[in-house]
Amino acid sequence: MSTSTRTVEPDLDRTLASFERAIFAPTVDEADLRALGSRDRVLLYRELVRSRLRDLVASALPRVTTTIGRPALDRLVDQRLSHAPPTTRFFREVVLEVVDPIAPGLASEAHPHLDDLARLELAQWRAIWDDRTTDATLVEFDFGKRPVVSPTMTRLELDHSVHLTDRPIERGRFHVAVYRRRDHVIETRWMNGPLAAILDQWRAGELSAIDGVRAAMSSLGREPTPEIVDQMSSLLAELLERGGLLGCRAQ
Amino acid sequence: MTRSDDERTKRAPTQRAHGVGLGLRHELSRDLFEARPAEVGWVEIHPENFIGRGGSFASMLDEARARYDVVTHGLTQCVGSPDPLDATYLRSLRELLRRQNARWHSEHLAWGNLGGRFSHDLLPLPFTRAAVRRAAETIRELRERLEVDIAIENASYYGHPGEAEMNEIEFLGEVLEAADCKVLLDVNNVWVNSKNHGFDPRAYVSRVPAERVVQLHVAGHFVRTDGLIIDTHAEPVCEGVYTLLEHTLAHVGEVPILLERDGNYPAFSTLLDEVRRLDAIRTRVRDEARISALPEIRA
Repeated sequence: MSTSTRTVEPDLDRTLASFERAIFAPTVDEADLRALGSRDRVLLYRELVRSRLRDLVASALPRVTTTIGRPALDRLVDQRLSHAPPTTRFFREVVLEVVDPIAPGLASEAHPHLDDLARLELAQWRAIWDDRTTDATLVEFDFGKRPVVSPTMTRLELDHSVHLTDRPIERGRFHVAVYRRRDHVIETRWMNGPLAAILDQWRAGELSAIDGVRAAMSSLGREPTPEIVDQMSSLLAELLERGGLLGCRAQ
Repeated sequence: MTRSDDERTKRAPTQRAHGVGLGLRHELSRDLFEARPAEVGWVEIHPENFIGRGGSFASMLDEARARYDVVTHGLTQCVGSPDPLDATYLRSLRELLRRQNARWHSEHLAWGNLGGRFSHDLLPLPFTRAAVRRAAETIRELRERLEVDIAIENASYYGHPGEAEMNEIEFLGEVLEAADCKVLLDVNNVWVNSKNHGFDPRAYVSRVPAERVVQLHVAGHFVRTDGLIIDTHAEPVCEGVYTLLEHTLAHVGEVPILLERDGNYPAFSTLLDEVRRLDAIRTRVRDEARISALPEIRA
């Protein structure tokens, strides 16, 4: 099969470049508009392209949008589009390209939890369509074998309780896992520090499940108390049932 | 059984979309799969929404394949885009087409990406000979890489960039000739463009080479207060488009018709009413053509 090449068409490519600048440049160059002819219609395209992408981000981050208001979100998205237009052909991935770089700077005095909320909603958005799969040969879960966690799982360390939607947001240290269940429902699982440490060991998949538990406890300087063992058993059963934990590697 | 025989039996039957189809959208899929209305003969997908995507969309496609003939219509490989084709994406697309034994795949006569940046919209090409060459080059390469016929869709446009060297139907005709490809004629787009740019939509349709038409699109649009029509696919099909469809079918003969609905979704039964009306038009035009052909057969 031949390698893809494009014949250079200088006039055509100049026109398209002007058009693209008119859509994505921070401010519209009047010279571009004059070269393109129908000024209002080119500006219409700028609005159609940008509003479609703004709508996408707003739909993916509904709580961020509600918190700061649609006009503020639109300004953030517009700024990002002007700085870095989408480079993915997959519409769903535009949300990651736009929000990932700006999420860390979203927290403000009025909304100190906003970066956490954006990270949480991004993880939930990605889990909906994430197609990562494991190449491991799977067997049933066995504490003597290396566990395989769903590749759709994202672990988050949050400084605000943005995952708890039924109460006011509080400051603290919250360990959360987001993953897609077998039935395609997105699960947001809150857990305590010991369970998060165990799950992180299982996600790494380098140690057997039981050695992962030991390593997690060692890293925390704790013993696996009966309470922790009970909690771990509940988490294990839940993850296996819902598809957060796929089983273990055969080898 | 040889390996190639085995491979063939694993594939779906050859794509044979017939009658009226519906764009497969997540918002419509549950109603479609539960009701499985006889009026809907096939479905169309945007491959970008399924390639590299896990979760419910993968299941939705599996279910659609089990129940319907699935036709593909791309959004991001517009044939006028200047960027080199993405070999990785095209391999995935070819695999998807092979799984459906596709006979054709359609893309837009527009452009959408430049320098690795994607607008995620259909941007207008200038009606120039350079754009004809660019589109034809892309179509030929797509056909080679995807190993199926390529159909191009006439796109709606709101402004012409730069100086035109021909009008829209001349541009479409030159691209079809230069690339020797098929056409997916979007009846709504003809209607929208005719209103926005002031030409006779029936005359446009009559100049489309009928033998190249493999599929039709029908959709609704939004009329702004200033009269400009925006191709939204989020409104009911208007009377003018139904009438133009009838004229189109009389010109091109019986080809599969696709109702596109991409937003502002009505009750599914309302959408089915539109499908039924499209099918009634299709049947009427077909029957009239058969009747008018009778004397020749007797002779």
